[in-house]
Amino acid sequence: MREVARRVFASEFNDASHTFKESDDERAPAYQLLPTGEKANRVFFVGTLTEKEDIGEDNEYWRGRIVDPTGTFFVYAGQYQPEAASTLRDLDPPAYVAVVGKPRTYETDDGNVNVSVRPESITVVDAATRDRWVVETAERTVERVAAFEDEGNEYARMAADRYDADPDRYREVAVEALRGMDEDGDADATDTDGQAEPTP
Amino acid sequence: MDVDNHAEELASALGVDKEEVKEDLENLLQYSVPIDEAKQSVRRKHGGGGGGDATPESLDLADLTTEHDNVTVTVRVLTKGTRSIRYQGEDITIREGEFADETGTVSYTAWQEFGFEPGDTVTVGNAGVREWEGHPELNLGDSTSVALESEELEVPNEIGGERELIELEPGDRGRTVEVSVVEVEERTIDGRDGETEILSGVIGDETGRLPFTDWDPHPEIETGESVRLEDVYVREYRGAPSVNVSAFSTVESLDEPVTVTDTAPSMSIGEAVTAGGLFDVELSGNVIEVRDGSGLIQRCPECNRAIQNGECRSHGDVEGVDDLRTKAILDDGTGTCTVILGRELTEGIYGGDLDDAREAAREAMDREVVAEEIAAALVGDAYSARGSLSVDEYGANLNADAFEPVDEDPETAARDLLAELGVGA
Repeated sequence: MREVARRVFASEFNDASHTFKESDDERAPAYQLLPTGEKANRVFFVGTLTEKEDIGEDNEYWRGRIVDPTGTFFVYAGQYQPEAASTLRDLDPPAYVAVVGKPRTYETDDGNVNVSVRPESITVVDAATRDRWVVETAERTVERVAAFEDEGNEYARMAADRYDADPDRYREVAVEALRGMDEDGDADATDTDGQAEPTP
Repeated sequence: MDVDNHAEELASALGVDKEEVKEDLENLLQYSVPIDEAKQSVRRKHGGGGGGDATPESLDLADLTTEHDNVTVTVRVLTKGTRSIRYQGEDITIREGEFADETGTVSYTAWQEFGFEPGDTVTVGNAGVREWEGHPELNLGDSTSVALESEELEVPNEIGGERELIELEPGDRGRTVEVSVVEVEERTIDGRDGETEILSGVIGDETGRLPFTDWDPHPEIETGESVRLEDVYVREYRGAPSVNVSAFSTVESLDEPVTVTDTAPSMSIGEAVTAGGLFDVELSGNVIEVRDGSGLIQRCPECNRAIQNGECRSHGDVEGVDDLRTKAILDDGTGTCTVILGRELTEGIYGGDLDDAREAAREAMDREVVAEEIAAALVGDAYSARGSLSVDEYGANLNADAFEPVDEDPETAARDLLAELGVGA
């Protein structure tokens, strides 16, 4: 069965430094453990590509920074991701992009774990698609936090063991993302709402 | 356990005097009859059911496991459906349904008519236990006794088989539905008794639509008519529930027409896949990939299946027929499925017809350009698809009748979600 593509904000994704496998088989899928208590083998996100850089030496190797309301996703695409690499090569930031990819972790010399995405595809989308992703990701995040204390939620138990962060923090981040979306939308929207309120 | 205890247990199960039972038991034991055999013998003498290898155990349904051989339970009959099956070359009429007590429910199969009806409280003595997909089921046969209880057992479950279409699941027996016949056709099939006339089509109510088959054509079933179908059973057909009307079903015309919903139930992909298949459902998500086998494809002229490199899996080398198709992976973060779009819907996305696609492939000298074009149009964007969902071990497939971009306003959705979370905007 194909793995579902998780919806996760950048702030949570970048905290998800623990990876694991569920079997000893070499080809068994690797999972990233989300701090809200879910396993991710694939993610889908939509954000704004703000910068791109070819950091390769002999071959091209693109790094893109993709920003959502909570933080930045780093994507790396080289010769083994030819389609994603060519999209990054051709794109002029800023641009709204949708990314399907696999979580990757990398331990730096000072012992920190960097989390990034190895993209399967990067496509240009419109602002409405980006906004819809924010709402959907907020909903999925809130659902994961709500299920965190559920009996038998093994990934939540694993997350509680591995991470210090309180899962409620990610719920707050999700709520902030929703609020921000309301504000950066139509500036008149708040006024209209105000007028609709009955006044004594 | 000593003889005293065995006698006590037997006496209370049989409702006879303990001393008498003890005497019988001791008499048999004296002649080296094993205790289990002795108990069976005494049981038979006093008219209790028996004949099995072990003494039936009286228990709550919650404690029933597939480890049990024979059991005695006191239960409320929830449903009862009648069906004819062919067993070892012989047609047998069986009754199937569910029993419940305060602790749980269990499915049963009765190989003869015991006379109980939904709502009755009965004690089923010496029922066999068999395993079905990991769960225990009761088998009521020749050695089973059923006694009607005068005291009604209170159970939390719904009694009777009346359901709405959305509630039906493969394996359901003895169901009653009130529906409108959306479409129906007569068909001749090669059944177990040679050529048989059947009816097949689609029925609907306010909650959804399902395919149906009437194995014993009832004249009341006509397109546009509203009918009450009593005692139908549900089977899985192409991964979705299908309603089966038989000679044992009662079909009654209704004066009040049943309204059929024109929208399909909409749910998360995760829920739909867990449900194990749905005949008519609406799913929304992002297209995250366009799979191989999309775009300008070739089909076998014999069987219409998609072929690769001019070779059909069943018919070998064939002259392929061009067609357009899309297999798009739709994912909403709760689940994932492959949406299959036929030629017409694919043309709409591609922005051209089969001839345009052929022309583009010729120009590029690569048929793949068509699939690439389709992927460029779809991947990343949000769509909602309506159609029939089937689920198997390889994943979920939705054969789409409709496929449209999601047009929900994200700001409204954000405000709604904030309100739902009780935090306001």
